[in-house]
Amino acid sequence: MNGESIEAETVLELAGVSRSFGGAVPVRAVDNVSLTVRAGEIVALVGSSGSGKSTLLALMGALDVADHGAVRIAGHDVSGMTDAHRSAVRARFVGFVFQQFFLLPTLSAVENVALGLLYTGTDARTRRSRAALALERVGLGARLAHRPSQLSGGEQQRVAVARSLVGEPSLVLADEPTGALDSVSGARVMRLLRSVAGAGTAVVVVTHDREIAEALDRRIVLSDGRILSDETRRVDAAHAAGVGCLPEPEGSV
Amino acid sequence: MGELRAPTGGCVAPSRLRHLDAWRTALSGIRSRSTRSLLSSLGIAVSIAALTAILGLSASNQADVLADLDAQGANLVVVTPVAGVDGEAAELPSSAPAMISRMPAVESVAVLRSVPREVHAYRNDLVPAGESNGLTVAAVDPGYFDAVGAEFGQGESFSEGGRALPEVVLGYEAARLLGVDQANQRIWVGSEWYAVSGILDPRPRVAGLDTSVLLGDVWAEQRLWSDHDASHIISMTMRVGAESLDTVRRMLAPTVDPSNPRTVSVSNPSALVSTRAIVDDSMSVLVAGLAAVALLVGAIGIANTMVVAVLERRGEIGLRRALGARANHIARQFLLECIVLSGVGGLAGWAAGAVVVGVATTVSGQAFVLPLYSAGLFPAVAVIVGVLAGLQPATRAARVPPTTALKAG
Repeated sequence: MNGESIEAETVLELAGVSRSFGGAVPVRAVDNVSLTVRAGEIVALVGSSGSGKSTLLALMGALDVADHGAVRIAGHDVSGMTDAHRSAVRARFVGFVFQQFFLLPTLSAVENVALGLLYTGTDARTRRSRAALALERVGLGARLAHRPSQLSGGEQQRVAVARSLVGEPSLVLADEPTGALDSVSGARVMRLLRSVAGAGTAVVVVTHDREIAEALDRRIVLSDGRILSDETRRVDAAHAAGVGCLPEPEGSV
Repeated sequence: MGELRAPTGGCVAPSRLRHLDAWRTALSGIRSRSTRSLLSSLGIAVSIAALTAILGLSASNQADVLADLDAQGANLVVVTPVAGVDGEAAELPSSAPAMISRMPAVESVAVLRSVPREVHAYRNDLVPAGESNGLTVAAVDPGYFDAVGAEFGQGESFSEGGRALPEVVLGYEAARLLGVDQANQRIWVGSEWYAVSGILDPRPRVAGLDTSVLLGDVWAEQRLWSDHDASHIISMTMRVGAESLDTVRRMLAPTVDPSNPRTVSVSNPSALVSTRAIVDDSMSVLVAGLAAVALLVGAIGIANTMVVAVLERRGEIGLRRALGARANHIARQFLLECIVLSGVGGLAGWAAGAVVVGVATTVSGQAFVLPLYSAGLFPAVAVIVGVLAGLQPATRAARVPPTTALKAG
């Protein structure tokens, strides 16, 4: 795992990462975790609540900083970075999808998606046209001007997925993306995420839903902040066959 | 532990937010909670409106009071010769009126000259010499009445030619005592008939004018005095620009009689000058005090809105951080919101205050006075206050760890 040389397709690499919280008696939420995620991979991160999934996801997305170990996203070691640089790594290489969608209620769907490019310094016109394309990609091309309140939960989450994709990130991190959705909408969002991975983006899905986890190629089980198991198996042969012929992800170094 | 590359990530440029986008973001933040934004802006607007109204009303009022005081003679300065130990007044130089006229800020000089002591005024030549009614007889130039602000109830001042004729202007009380009720009647002064050219209104601004009988100075000089070298000046009354009153008063004695300034007494005809100064000062203190209170209230409103906004919008803060916002992008967003809220409030408040002043001065019939600097200063002060009020909440918003903010959302 200790990468003397990083393979071109490695998007995310964690090496001996630990993160503790608390004062006098710190709790180790993530304990010496090492893993690699490659372009086009879709990974389920599972575990009981309090197992450290969300903390690990935050470390993977450079939202939080590890106490020990190194996190490398698209070739950039974020461990010693300043806030400004770490923020830039998030803006360019990482897309987030959250359980609560986090759509701004006063903005239309396309404006919400365009927010995904706001902190990259892209001009407004380009942001908007790329946001419209991203919405097309998630099947909401006809809903550009709709406010979140005018969309169903599943549609809102697809808008959020579009927002995570608009910057063409190397890595999409989804934290319980189907947690607030009914099973039909949830399944549609998961299909969408699988297609994102199919297009060459690395996707990590945090879930406590066993069924969802079972449906993904690779499952990493966390317990007390440690990796209990890390299994890979082809679930969907037809889908897996498509991965190889997709273009290289943009933005990877 | 992985041996990864140097932990600087130097090839990634810091994330950036365009200036225009920063303003857009602030505006969208304000729109997202428009009612509360409107209310906090209103808070600032009300305080700035109050401030503008206070300033405008007190300035209008002050201008009115000062004009009133000036009308009552607060800006009249009187120069008289000092009485010597023998009780005789010193003689002021003949050049004195001309010298004073040359001083800046002296608008006009009214010279009151004496007539010989034995000259008194009577209703007619039959009245016994002792019944002079205590009336003062003196000599003036035709411009005297304008200079002291005396108004004519009847007739008018003697003409330039009348200066050298036996014409007379009577104070209101003097006319009553002499039985004169209209111009062109005759009275007996000294040993000759004089035509009354005008009668003054009662309650003049210069003491003693009410009981005065005023002859033309040229006539008095030529016909009544044998001593033509003396100036016979009793007093010189001048109107002085209010702002230079102190300076002029200090300079007067040496100007009137450079060789002997001690023989010159400079006074005000009333205590109105000190009243004027008090009016000037107390209004300013009042305005400053109320301004501070009004602004504090506005600042608390903005701070309150921002503190609540930061708490309410933690999810959004977390989202923006996840999307690549730096801590200072978040701080900037909240500060810009403060600037917009307080700036809009400040401008609207100034306009509302100006309207209040306009309505109030129209109703009370005063002149509209609102110092122009307030249009720039007050909104600017509002923005500064808004930024100060928003500084702490904005900093706090920036410091929230992204993971914490996302959990709260």
